[in-house]
Amino acid sequence: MDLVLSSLASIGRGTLNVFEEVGKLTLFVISTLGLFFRKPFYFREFARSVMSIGFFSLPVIGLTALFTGGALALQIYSGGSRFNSESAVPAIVSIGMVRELGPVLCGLMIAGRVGSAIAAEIGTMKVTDQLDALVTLSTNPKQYLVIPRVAAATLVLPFLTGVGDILGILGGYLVGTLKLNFSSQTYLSQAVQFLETTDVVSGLVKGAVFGFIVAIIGCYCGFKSGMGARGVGKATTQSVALSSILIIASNFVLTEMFF
Amino acid sequence: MTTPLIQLQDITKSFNQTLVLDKINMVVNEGESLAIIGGSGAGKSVALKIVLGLLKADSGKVLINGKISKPPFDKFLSEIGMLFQGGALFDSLPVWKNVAFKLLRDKKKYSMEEAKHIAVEKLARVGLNNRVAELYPAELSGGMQKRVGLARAIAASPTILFFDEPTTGLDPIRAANISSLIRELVEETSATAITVSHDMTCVKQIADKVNFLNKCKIAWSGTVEDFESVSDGVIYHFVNGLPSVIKGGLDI
Repeated sequence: MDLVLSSLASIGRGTLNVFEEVGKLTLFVISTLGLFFRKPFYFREFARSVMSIGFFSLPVIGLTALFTGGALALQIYSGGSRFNSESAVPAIVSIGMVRELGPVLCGLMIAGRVGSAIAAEIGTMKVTDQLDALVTLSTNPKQYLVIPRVAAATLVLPFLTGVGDILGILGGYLVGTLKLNFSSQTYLSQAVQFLETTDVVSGLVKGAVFGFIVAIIGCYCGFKSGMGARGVGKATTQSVALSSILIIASNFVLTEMFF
Repeated sequence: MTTPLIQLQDITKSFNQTLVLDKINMVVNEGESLAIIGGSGAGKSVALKIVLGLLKADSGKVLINGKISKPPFDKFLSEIGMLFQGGALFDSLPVWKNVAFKLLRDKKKYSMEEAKHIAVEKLARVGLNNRVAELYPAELSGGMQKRVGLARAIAASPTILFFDEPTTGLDPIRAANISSLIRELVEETSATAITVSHDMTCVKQIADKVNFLNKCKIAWSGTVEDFESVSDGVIYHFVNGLPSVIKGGLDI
């Protein structure tokens, strides 16, 4: 009986913790959104975030997309050959990259590279009293740290997604022409022919949503970071795990909405 | 009778059911230099953070110029300068931008050049040269970081200064230098000062008045001279740095 009760109690505690966390995150997002249109806007912080989130993520995004596009071409060729559909490789690679893999991979890579860095930076600032110092210097920490990062990530991720899409298609093109005996012209024409505007737009919108998720979760975990190195480490791990889950979940919701 | 500049009334604060401050009362008059002292973990910094609005008290009131202090604390915060225990300098900014941070917020009042000029002036006041202005906080020693923090605290000509453990982590010579610098700056600016410390040498140099925190309460309040001559066991042990052998003594 005791075992049953303690199991029920721990399930109850876990559920309450989840609701508490969801509530805190919701309040954090609402309070952040409320600051978006309030002055001042810290342009220098925004520019710094654009560089670190956008420019410095290009190699990671580019390589990931290039190899994924290549692997996708091989898989589709292999699978398609079972029912004589090898010719569908260019179209499926481009549609798959633009609709799904481009934005999702881009979001996940950014969650690992940027979300963790945001959480670690803000967490360290909290541990070393820098957040309190901002307040005593008449500066709202959320306005100074969160708004520029969230704005930068939301604006930059669609561009990164676009780059990822192009390089993914290029990866498929290289494998298709060099290994699978497609002619360059046939591959390119088929890759573009079946793509629709909504495919591209939905992918870019997904990118923006994922950028918002990564940045806001990184900031949230940094702000609620515990004290000491362990607290910052935990915040960093949580930010990657939470934003990855939210990216996957919101991808499903967005796909459902668009198609 | 003049209204106290800062007044704490029955402030209680606990963390995870651990009581840290138990109905403490404190009065700071304009132009005074008050030190809040006590053992490690006595709640000194918590009291300071409650005054600044960085922490919310569970119960009690903070009065600024006789009025209850409520968020947003913009006006109050615009009049203060604060030196943090570890300096709390922003790693991503060079030293001069750290010092001029508050000035750079008000672009209508100060241009970039003016703000930099004031920052370099304040750095010189705390004994740091031009070259330091261009360095980043990570390139400075602990003592230099404290000095930069001090320059940042006085950059916007505040009327109230807060110092959180200003000499902690410094060697005795650097600690004495920082203490005398603080005293000079407080006298120069005629600012009201609140210092949190457990370093009696520093307190003797900086403060006029002492509030001694022990067992979550203000155990003693008065002038520094009177404090040193107290014959009460706990305070005597604290002042002279002796191990507490008194039953129910210092809460450490």
